[in-house]
Amino acid sequence: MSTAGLKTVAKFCLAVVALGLITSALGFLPNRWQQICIMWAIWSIVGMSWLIILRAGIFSAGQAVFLCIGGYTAAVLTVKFNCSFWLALVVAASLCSVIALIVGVVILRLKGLYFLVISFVFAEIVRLTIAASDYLGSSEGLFGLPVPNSIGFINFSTKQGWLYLFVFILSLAALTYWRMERSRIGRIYAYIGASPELAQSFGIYFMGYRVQAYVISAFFTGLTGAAMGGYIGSVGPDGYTFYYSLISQIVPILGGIGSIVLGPMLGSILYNVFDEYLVYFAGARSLIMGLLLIVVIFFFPEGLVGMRKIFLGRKRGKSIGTT
Amino acid sequence: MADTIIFWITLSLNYVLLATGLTLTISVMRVVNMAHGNFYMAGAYVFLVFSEKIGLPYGIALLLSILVVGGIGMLVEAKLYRRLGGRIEPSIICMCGVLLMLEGLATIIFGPDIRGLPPMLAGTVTIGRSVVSMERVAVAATALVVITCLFCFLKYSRLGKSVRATVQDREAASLMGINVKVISSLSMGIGTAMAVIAGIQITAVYSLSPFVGTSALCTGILIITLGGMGSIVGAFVAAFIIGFSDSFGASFIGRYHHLLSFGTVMLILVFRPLGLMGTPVEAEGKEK
Repeated sequence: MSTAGLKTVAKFCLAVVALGLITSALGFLPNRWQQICIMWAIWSIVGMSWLIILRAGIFSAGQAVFLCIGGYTAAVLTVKFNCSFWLALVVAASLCSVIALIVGVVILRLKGLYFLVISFVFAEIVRLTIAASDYLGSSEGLFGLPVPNSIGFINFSTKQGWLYLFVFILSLAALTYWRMERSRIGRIYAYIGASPELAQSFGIYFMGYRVQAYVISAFFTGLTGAAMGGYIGSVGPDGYTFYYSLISQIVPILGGIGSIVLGPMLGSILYNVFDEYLVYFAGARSLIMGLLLIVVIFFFPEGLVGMRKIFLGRKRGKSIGTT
Repeated sequence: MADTIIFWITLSLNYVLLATGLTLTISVMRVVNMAHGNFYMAGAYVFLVFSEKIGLPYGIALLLSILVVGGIGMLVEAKLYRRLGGRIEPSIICMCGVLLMLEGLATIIFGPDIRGLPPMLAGTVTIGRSVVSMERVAVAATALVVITCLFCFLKYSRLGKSVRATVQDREAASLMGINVKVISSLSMGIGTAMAVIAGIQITAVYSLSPFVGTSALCTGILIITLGGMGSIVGAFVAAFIIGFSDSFGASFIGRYHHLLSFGTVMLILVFRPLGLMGTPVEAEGKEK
């Protein structure tokens, strides 16, 4: 193996050890803060998944549908078929990818606004259909997802065990998206986002790349949805409303869409702090989120990531609506 | 059967109101007004305040709630949407912000519980062999009158012609001396007013909670996608198709009737990607 290859492997191992240590250290936090950390990881992944398809020029208003399908698949497999949680996790993520592939081939052909509205309608129809099905627990949802067996020292009856799982999924998603952004694929996505027609005239089959982005995004969102179902122990149609699709947009927008990994992670911190303190006030959460969204769009279009230019004097970053 | 037909017509006529409001704002503003469904919900709540808390008669309460919520709509257009300079993504996100704020305000003020609206008219009428509540007939009649007025306004009045000119080409209309800013505000106001009327009439038949906005937006979007964005005649035809699935589907298929509407729309979109009445020229304009 070459020196460069060894260096990469060493860096990778170091990163894994560091992440493991940080996650173990988080285990000493009170339960409430561990809960916030888990929600932070979940919304970071969902936010990143929304952002990667935005890069390819797809503005989705229905990301919650993949959380929903992932969660329900995991719930049905574990509760009704006594399947292993880990198998259910893989099946849920794969099912989401397949559904994204089938639906994507039809609806990604639609231009701008049409895709936006149809993705919204798709999410809502899936939710209503699930809420109407008696097999899937109608409007109550499914309860009693079993706690997975512990793996070595990772015990899933504690919050810390779940923290390991979510940090693992987050690292996987962040690494994938970061590599995609930095590679040829990322540049192709940027071309497609700027102008699909122009990209096509350069010989890029943009439908293929759009479907690819959509499927990858659905995979990670579905995986998160399934893990979230297992963590909470129940799934219900009220957990996947349009509000949660909006959160998947709010998180990256608060953080700044200029950076695919850092933006959603920062935005997720802000969102979860607000969410934790507002969850008991019905309505106040929506009101504050709406207000925050408008303030960010008007005054900080580059989000939290864009703030660094104030401190570091960087040049103008990427804001939503500019390509 | 006759009962279901009456229900179908009542519901569809109100769906036409909902969808024409949405399609009007889309064609003038060039973005989807995501808050449309929540203006519908807000209208019903404002009406509830005027008619139950203050005790005004039905007609006056209706007019006042149209004025109040329509005013909010125009304010949103003038103070928020216009300042974003017509960029699509920020405008949509801004509308999502308005949506969340309206939902949050309604939940804080009125609580998350489901409630009913007072009926327009009490009593029943006998049509043929079936007994129909007077309210449904009155609701259908109101909707029909409003749709006719809107259609005549857009078709024959000078202001209506300006609206249509702005929809066709904003810059050319501006060059012809049309104040496109005023037209834009006006269209948003009219679109919101349509949502309010539909909201008061549909929630009186179904039920009202701060979360009905999303399903109303969903219905509105299904209709305009099916009919073709920007086409009022298309919205009219599509509203009757979606209304058919929501009334007959609900009574004959059962709880899965949502899939029927969605399936119909998807099927039409595969063969006609711009909807039933959408024309390529209009769609090109929306992309800008």
